Amino acid sequence: MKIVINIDENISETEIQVSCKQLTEEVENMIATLRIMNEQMLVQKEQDTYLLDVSRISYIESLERKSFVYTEDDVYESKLKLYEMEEKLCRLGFLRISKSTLVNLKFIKSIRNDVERRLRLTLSNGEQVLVSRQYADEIKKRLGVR
Amino acid sequence: MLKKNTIFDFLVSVMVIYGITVISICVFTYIFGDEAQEISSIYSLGQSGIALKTLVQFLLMSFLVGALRWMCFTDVLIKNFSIAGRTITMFTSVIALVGIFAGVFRWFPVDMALPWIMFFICFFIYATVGVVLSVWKEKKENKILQDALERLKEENE
Repeated sequence: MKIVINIDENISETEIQVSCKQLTEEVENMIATLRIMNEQMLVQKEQDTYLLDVSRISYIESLERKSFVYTEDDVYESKLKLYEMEEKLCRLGFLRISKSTLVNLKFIKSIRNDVERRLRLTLSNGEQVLVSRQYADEIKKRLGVR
Repeated sequence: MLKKNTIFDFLVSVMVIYGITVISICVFTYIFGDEAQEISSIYSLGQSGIALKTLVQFLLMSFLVGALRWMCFTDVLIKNFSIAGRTITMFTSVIALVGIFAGVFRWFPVDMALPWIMFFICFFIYATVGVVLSVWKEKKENKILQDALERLKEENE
């Protein structure tokens, strides 16, 4: 893959242009990653593709090698794997709460202890998600309570 | 590193249950020992002490209560069950277990109302103290977590 960087003082907005022979999975993944940097995400529902603002995502769950993106009232699918989104989303206020889940901090309404040193998060739509023991310590550290 | 529950954690909890039980029975033996000698095998030696076989019975019961606690408060056997539900299951099981031990080892005549009333009063006091302390601790810790969450959310906005 050829990467061309064009620096020009007269350009008002940074622009990324992708030229390719065909839209392969590799190219789609690259574009999807770039979208996250732009605080947007390409997601699919049934046959349609949507461009979703990251700020609308409440949590992302990986199930059977698929990534499901939850907003307060809808569920979409993403072609990106959880580990591919983690780093970028964590910079945008997401927390890793288990091997299979990333949660948007701004959608967490309450947090409390649960059995076996886990944490239970209640999201703003009333849905509850569990923080595994492995990540509970890390989250407590991030909250400054350890 | 993630700390896993070991067999030693289980043995520690069994020993704590056993210790509290024996200390409580020591107090009751000192107070009621002679009067209860005729009707209860626990007080078979009167005020002078607790029989070895009774201590072994208590140890066995402590192991079983420890196992019930492990079963109710871990996700190994019971998954997706509320803490309140787990606590109720635990208390109900302990009452049933004591009833079985009382019948089998003649701790007290199971057809007499007074020993049962005494048992329920003691159980209620211990359970209430235990639940109140754990709820208070839980609420305090949850408030600290919630406040920290609000602070982190403010910092991220």
